[in-house]
Amino acid sequence: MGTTFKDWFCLSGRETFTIDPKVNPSDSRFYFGRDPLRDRMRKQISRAFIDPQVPKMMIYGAYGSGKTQTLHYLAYDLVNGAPKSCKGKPHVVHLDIEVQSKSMAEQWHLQMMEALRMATVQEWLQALFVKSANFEQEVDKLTDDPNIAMAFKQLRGGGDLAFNAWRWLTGVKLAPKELVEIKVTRSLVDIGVGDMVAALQACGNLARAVGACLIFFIDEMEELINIKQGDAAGSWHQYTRKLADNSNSSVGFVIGFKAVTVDEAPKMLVREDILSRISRANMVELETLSAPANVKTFVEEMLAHLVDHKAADKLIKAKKLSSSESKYPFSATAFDLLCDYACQDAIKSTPRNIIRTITDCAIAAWDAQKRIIDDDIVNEIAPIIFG
Amino acid sequence: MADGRYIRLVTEKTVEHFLERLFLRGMPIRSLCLVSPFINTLEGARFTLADLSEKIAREQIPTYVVTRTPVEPYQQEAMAILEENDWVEIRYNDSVHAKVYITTALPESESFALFGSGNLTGRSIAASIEVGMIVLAHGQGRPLVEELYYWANNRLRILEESKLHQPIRARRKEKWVQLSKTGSV
Repeated sequence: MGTTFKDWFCLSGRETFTIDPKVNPSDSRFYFGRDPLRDRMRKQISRAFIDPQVPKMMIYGAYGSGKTQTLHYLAYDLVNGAPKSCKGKPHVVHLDIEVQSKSMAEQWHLQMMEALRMATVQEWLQALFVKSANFEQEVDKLTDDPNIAMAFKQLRGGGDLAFNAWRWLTGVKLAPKELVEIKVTRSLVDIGVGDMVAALQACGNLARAVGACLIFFIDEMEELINIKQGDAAGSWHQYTRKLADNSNSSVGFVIGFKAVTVDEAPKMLVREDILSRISRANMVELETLSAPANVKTFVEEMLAHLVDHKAADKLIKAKKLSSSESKYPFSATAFDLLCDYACQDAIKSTPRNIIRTITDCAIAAWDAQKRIIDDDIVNEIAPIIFG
Repeated sequence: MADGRYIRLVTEKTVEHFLERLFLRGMPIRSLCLVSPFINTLEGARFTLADLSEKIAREQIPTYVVTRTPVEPYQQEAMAILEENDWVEIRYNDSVHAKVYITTALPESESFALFGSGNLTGRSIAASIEVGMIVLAHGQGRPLVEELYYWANNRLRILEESKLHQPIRARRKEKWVQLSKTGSV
């Protein structure tokens, strides 16, 4: 054979057709076949930077509808071209939430803070220290809570005190002696979720003070349906409500969860008091592609980005392949066939299934040493995935 | 840093741990990747290869096997079981030394993987000293499972040395006949 899969299919700077931003972070830049939706989300985010000054959005859809890709794309888009309305440099934090049946909002807070990272907050504190004539005064401006301010001051100092201050900010209960050492009067979680959100907002305020804008991208929030206990569900609801509230103008969030309709969403996320705070315009449904035109656009855009078209064109001409630059590595009829299969069942007409079919068709062609994917291969692979 | 709850060291019957989880948890399985240089019928083990094949066929699980070209009769016997299964793709790669087993499930958090020293053989389960890591797709385990899946299902399968012996031949529904070029089902 003497050539690689990548060269065989004229792939442009990648090994396979599979798109997965978690495995290949550079795949975050792709968003195919959904221009109107992308423009709508961009507009909503741009507006959100004016009021309430950070985005607060929820994205939901069926399994495989592209939630993870959407979250990663939006984060990529923000970092690489923030709207003018964004007053700082976006600092995006990705988090795949993990929830057990008894998980309280403390666990959410802990995961948010760990995803943000101690080193990041320390860097921000150091940047504030360098630019401030009076660091302590500036820290006091970040929060109304003297305990949080004190934890920030300790955190900049380094050593064990800084580490314990960070643990305190993440909601870990410290021993009385440790509380005394970092000069706080109680644990962050002693009273309720309000203090935890206040600590997170203080981080957001700190980010803003040094020219950054903190935005979390939280995936897998359908895991909240695992929560069975009323108290636990209540604490998650309160945490979400406080983040959604207009009083939070420093910590943005885009939450993704699997649900075909809002009714299937974890209840604590979509109660009326939360929806009214983030506004229904910021509830974004990812529909399956289903319509033939949508599927075609998706596949064409995907191939346009993944294939080196100069090389493909050269190959098509040299080998007299029955394909075209826009449809390669599919033959013209196999391309239409793939789209037909993908449209047979609206529920299965998802980006994930289409990408998987393209990948497996290409592997089948590679196995058979075929230069293009023909009807036989599509007929062999597509029913396994779309059937 | 590894999260001890989701990445566990297994020092006994490593492959059986994987199979046990696969058989005993009731979640829908999306796909299965079995990478093992040597495979036998697992006769005498708690779950045999025939049991596994039966589960794959019954639940219509697309399964991707990468192993070495069978030379010994025990390998050929095992391959004969898998060859009967329309849901199993078999590739032979004589360079494969890795032992990786991945289940992707619905929900994704139910996916899991095992990698270590254990082959998919009865001897590996019953007699050999093996060590492995079970990774659950929760928390910090999830990206590891995803990367292992990407490696096994994409990168390993497209290696020049990974020669296709048998493709998946199944169709999910009987009503699925090949679409004609005019698009009718």
